[in-house]
Amino acid sequence: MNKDQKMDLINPFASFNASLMNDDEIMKYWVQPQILFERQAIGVDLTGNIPVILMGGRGTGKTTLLKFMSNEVQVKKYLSEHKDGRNFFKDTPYIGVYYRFDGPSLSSFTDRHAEEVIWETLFKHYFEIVIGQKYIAMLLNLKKNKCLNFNSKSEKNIVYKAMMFIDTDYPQKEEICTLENFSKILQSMADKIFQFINEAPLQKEPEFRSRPIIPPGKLIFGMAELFIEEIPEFQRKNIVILLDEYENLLLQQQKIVNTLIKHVKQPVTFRIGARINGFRTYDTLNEGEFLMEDADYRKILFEDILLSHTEKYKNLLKEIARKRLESINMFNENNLTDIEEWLGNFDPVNEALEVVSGRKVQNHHINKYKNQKHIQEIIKELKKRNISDVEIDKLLPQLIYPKNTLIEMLNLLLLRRKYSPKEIINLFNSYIARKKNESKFEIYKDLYEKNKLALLFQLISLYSPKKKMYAGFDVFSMLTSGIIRNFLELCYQCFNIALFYEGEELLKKRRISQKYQTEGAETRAEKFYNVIDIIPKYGNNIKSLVGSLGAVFNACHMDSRLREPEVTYFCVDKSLLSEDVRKILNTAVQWSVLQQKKSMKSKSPTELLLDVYALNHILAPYFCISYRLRGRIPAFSKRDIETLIFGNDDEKRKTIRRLGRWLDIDKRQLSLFDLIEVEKGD
Amino acid sequence: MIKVEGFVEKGKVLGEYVNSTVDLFITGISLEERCPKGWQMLKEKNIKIKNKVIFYFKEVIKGFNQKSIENPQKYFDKLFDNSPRDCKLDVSLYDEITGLMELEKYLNDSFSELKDKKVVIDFSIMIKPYIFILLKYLLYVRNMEKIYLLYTEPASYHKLRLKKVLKNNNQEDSEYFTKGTVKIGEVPTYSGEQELTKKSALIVLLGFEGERAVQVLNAVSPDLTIPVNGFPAYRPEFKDRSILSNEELLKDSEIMKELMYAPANDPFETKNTLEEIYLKYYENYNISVSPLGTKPMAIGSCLFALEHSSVRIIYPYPLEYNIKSSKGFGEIWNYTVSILR
Repeated sequence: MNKDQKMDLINPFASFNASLMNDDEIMKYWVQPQILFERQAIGVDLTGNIPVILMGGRGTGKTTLLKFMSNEVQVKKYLSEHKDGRNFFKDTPYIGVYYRFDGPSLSSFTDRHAEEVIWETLFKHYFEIVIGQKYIAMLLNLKKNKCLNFNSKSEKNIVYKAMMFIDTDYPQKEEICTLENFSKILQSMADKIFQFINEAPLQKEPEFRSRPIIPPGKLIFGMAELFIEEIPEFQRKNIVILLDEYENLLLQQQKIVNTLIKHVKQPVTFRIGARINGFRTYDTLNEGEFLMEDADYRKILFEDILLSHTEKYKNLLKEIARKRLESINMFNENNLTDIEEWLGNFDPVNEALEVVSGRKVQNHHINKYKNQKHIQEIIKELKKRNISDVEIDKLLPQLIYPKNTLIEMLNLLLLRRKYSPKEIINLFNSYIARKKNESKFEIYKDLYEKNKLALLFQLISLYSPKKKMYAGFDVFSMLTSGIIRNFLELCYQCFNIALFYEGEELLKKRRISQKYQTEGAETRAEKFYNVIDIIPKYGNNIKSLVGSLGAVFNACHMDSRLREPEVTYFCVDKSLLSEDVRKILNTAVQWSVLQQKKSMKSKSPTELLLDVYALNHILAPYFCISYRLRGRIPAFSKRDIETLIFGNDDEKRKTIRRLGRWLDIDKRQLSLFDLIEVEKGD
Repeated sequence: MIKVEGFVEKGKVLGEYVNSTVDLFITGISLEERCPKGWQMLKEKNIKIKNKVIFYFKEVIKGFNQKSIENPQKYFDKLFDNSPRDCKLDVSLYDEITGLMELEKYLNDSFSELKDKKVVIDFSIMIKPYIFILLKYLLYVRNMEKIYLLYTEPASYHKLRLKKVLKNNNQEDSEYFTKGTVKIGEVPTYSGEQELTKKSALIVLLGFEGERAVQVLNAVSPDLTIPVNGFPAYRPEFKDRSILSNEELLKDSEIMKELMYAPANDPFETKNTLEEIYLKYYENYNISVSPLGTKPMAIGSCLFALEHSSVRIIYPYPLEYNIKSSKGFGEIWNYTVSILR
């Protein structure tokens, strides 16, 4: 390895925030999410006429997609694939104009000293200016890269007419009718707005006196029409305004943008990137009018689509990782670009064997083996039934299966569920002998396949301080909860640890150990948990709820009879909750701490549909719980939720005990409760 | 267009106002030990204070009540030798605009003109948005030309919230600086004047709460991020602590390679560093600064923004400040700020 190669050994996953990536990086790391583009077949056309709302949690890939559709990236990509831009317009069905709503700026469009109506007018005016500037930048970009060749007459006509939209009194001298000058005029109008925003807090009754004020839609729709009138290439092309981080808009600002979406005029259309629950309102400025799905817009819910196509989602993750790995010479040159190869895949049987003995066990002497903790549990269960020691010694060899500890755990579970030893032995023998035509085989196989992960969690709890491993490509893809950034973060963390400990050796091993992967997953989970409290407004409440949920779910994992395996979600009738609690849940969903799943019927047929909230699986390593959606606990009441959010430690502890069916959990689990601050001095 | 200049002195020297009088002294209350030190030093120097304004932050009073001190008002009156003619403003830590309006009322009643008065502000325990808006008001609205700032360093800070700390049931309230978030916003009157065609650059003055830096970064989504670490720090270990606390931000190699340094206790050097960055990037970037580091560094960014109206200041407004985040006290610094119009 030469010196340059050594320099190149850096973490391929070091940057993963699309909003911080420049156009070249977006192009470099872009992977077309086919699952999303395939939606065209069912009417959600990412480049077509109807506005589309792209809804998803933080890091699901909305920004990457919107930036990729921007004219800046369109042109760069085209030029990288063609010798010049002459045929750009022939080959593209739309031109994208990207704009991100900046939260801190938007929140300054309000101040107690000035009336609401002033801020509303000002925002409308500002938004027209911003999109006007974006249009100018788009034309200049297309012109500069020779993708568009419009003459000065067209330019003058566009600018002249656009200036007339703004104010007919503007001096319309021909020589000033250039895009650059128009840009300066718009900037000077924006300066007046900034001046007002800066001065308003120090004034008693501030008034915005600057004129003219651009009426809504005048530039946004008007200029686009002018492009078609004056530049033939724009005919039959959509101008797609790509608005990112819509959730940053204040309520009234959303109504303004909603009005534009409702009354969109071709060739303009919108693609709106928003967090889940990012729409505070679907109302427009016109009373009684609101945005209607299908009539006014189509919606794509990123997580739902990504998670409902497991294989396609995994392929997408693999492709994303491949681009990252290829970008680093050392990985690319050594053909180390397959993330599945780096992470391997998870095998619960092997992990269970490791837990028991620290190595794969082939032959066991029964007398020695029965000292293992899980076998002791089996013996304990048999003794509870008054079976003599002699009889136990006879039964035990028929209930153990050292090649697969999880089978032994299943036998233990069946004992706990009051199956007779004889029944269990019959089922077990049928399965081991692979008597596929017997119903016993199917019963046992079904029990085993469904519960092996849950059994692994139970096994690990017996062998404290051993911890559950979170490793393997499949596991990582489940831990992501459909959020691509989670995957990049997981990869970043485990590569970081592996590179730190192994350096260049890692390249020879071509595999990150399960230990480092688990450490990486734990680090990511901990970081995710630790920053929950800085979520605006409700962060502390959400953290309190999440800490309690983690404890409840963890307790459910320890239920010796596995009445509900791998509980990672809860149900509640949201209509019964207070406005505050609903807001807290909505915010938790908006920040992807919780994920709302399809409503389900209550266990009692007379009850209403319940709202379902799953904990983001990225937190699984923090709470030592599963990363799957399986068992279901009884619906939480209004009081349960309120206690988990607002209750004092004592109230929380009692509720957690009850909800977590904390019936037979021994002291081994107490450490977790200490960790999340719900257990004090009990 | 203004130009801000100034110089730094250790408290013992106290330049121009030794054996002199101060027309107006402004400070606030806190549970931090360093809170009264600036005032006590002026008293020891026999400097005559004609008028005194003290922000009686409601949250501090409430915090005192919780600690079973019978009469916190009396406690602070005694601490600052308050007389009936001194002005006590009952304001909230979280509402700098109302705080300013209350101050304005007092100033309108007490001073016909403030321009040539000798005003000393002890900002050691004031939260940053207060300092920003106070300086803007005095320098822009009241047209003051010179302001004296006092700052008492802490001896140390309490430990930050860490997972290990959470495990300990004896956790005290003092183990954090801030909790929760109200919003990531522009400091009022410091929204800057952005050019819509430029890219955006974010300068983060690094503090001990790394998650705040990431919060600001996500809110601004800049094209360029420049972290500035406080070095030399008050104490050598503080420098590393802010780097370690900001691991999440600095793990991006594009951000790490831009890392710059400015002294933790010298606002004018911080301003110079910001100036250097500004000159390099202002033509292509709108500059935003997030003052998450020490208060003197925040003053530096404030003076820098006062000079450059295009610069905006971004602050992660917390739900809760820790009113006792530091321990003990160290050097007292005097910063004299002069405005050239």
